[in-house]
Amino acid sequence: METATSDEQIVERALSGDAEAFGEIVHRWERRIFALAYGMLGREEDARDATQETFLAAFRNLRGFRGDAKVSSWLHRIAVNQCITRQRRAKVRGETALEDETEADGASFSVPAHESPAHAAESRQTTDVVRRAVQSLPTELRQVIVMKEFEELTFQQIAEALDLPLSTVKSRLYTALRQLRMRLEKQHGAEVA
Amino acid sequence: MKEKETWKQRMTEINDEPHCARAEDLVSYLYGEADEAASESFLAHTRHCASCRMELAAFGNVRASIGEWRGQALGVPAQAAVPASNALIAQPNSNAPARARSALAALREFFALSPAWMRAATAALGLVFCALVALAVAHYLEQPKIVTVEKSVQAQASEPDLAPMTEERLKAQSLNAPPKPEAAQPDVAIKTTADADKLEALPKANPGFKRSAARQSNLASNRKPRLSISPQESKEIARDLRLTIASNDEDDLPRLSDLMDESN
Repeated sequence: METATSDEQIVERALSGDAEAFGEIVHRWERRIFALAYGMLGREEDARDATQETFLAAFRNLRGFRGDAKVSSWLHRIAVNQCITRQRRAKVRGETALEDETEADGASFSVPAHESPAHAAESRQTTDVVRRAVQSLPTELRQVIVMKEFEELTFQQIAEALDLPLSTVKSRLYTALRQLRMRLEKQHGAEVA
Repeated sequence: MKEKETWKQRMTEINDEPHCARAEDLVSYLYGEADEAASESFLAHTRHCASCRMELAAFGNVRASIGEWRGQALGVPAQAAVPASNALIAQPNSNAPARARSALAALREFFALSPAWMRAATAALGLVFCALVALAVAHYLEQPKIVTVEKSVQAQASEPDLAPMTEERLKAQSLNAPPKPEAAQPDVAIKTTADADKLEALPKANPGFKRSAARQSNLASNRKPRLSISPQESKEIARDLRLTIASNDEDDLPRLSDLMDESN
């Protein structure tokens, strides 16, 4: 993110005791981190919690921030870890997040005023299929597709955030797209049949 | 059980294996992160690689679907789901907006994808278009001269037309102005008539003056209705005045017949 004051400078201010500096970081990145969490978890409520936990974890570990990485990469890494931890906890508790979230999330979607109810319902159904398909991807594939599609990060930024080689990011993205294609086509075929 | 999972994993791996060695290039191109040379190279490859061509179109549709979900969930429209070139290959139901690319890059992609006859036809059309533009520019540059001539002609033609307007204004002024003494009116009439006579005489002396003199006389004749006495009347008055003066002079001067009588 090109800004007048860099994220690194703001973090330095926060480390030197400026109480409001970290608030600026939150203000800058909360929307993107929420988008990432939403893509990863698929539920608005979970995404909001994960976003909050991400910034809390970042604030707690502020002194551990190494200047050799970008603040954005550091935040993304924390966010991805938070999402993975949340999903593991949900699995342990036996929550079937993917099954019970459909209605709740569907209701929260913003439908344009000019859209007819039938079209809105159809559109919601389509996006629900996509969401399920993304959620069913393995974590390592889901995180790259979400970072690319929801946050529009470059391959290089994803590689930095996940500490992966560039070619691995590309091959994971390719695999994620192939799996999504298959799942969507299968779903579409089932709907038609 | 374990065998079944291993088999399933193996099948997934087989499915995930790229059909073509240029899978990474495909992903770079799909997300607009390939440089110009790499884009051109990949596009050239898609012309004879059906697998890449189909995957490019299919992945474009997947991206469009994710973009729709993202737009609905976050209220943020998907920025770029499918590159412009993919739209050419993509299925018709793909309604994803095209990624903003430079016009030059789009043109190159178009030429790379289109057959030779289409390239030739496009080039010919381009030449015809350039010729038309050149003609239009030439025509536009010539036009101001015509406009000037028209304007000057219009200006010349409109000058006599100004006379009625001038007359109306003078009329209004005369209505607003305090009434002049009646005695002054004949003098004005005489003067105006005399000027008109002078103007009538001028064309005979100077043929080049014809137009302006005629215009002046026209103006003079246009002024005439403003006067309360017609030129004929004013001439008569003038004649009467001269007669009066002449008769007075005659009274003062001795007559020739009287002088002859006296000498006789």
